[in-house]
Amino acid sequence: MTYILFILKNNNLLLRFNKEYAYIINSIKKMFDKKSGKMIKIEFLGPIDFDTIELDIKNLQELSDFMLNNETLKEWVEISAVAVNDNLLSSRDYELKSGDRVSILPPVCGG
Amino acid sequence: MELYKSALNAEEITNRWYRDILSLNHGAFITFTGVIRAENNIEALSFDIYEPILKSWFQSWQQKAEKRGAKVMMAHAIGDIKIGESSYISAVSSSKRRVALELIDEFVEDFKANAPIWKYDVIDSKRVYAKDRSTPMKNAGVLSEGI
Repeated sequence: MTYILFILKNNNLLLRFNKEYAYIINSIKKMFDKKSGKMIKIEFLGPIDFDTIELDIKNLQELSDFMLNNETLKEWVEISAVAVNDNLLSSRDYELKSGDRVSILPPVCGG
Repeated sequence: MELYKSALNAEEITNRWYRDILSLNHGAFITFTGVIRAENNIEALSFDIYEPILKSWFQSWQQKAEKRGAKVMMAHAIGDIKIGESSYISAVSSSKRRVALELIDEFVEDFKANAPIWKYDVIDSKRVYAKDRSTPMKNAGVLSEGI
């Protein structure tokens, strides 16, 4: 009987330890996630009346969604070119990395 | 490539480029100069430039010209440029006329379509984006692929 009680008590301790352990691990994971979150700088060039912003996005689909849901930006989605770190993109299929800088280039007319 | 925060001194720039190409033993030198003309009650035109991509655009043209034994040159103004002033000069030199004649056409047309420069009419001291005269760059609309 004593032996059984001892096991139960230890199991409770183990359970409690596991819960605390999970809480600590989760806290560390959250801190890590925050630090490695993909903050992408987006700059809107020329006549686009919108200040540079930082967005937590993974790809250009998310940027497209953000722009389409914004009254000022939605008109530029279909007619603008896109550059990442000053390299013009030919496809939307592009995985963004933390620290990337995206430029939105509206129709041009030099000369 | 030369960028100026004022109107271009077209005589100085084109004369200097002309003197520079003499050492290349090129037999043809063609310049194209853009001058601001009066239209639509404008006081001036105004230009924004995104320099990093303009530089890479120009470098790719330098390489293209080099492969054909030619040289390209370019100058552009930033900000407000009044009527009668010059905002843009392009030039091509090559050994023989044909390459230079063909290249100046391609170079100026690609410039109009793909150089990251934005033009505004200045009317009543306000800048109005010349949207109807502007061209979407190559691969524009990449964000709306598949929508």
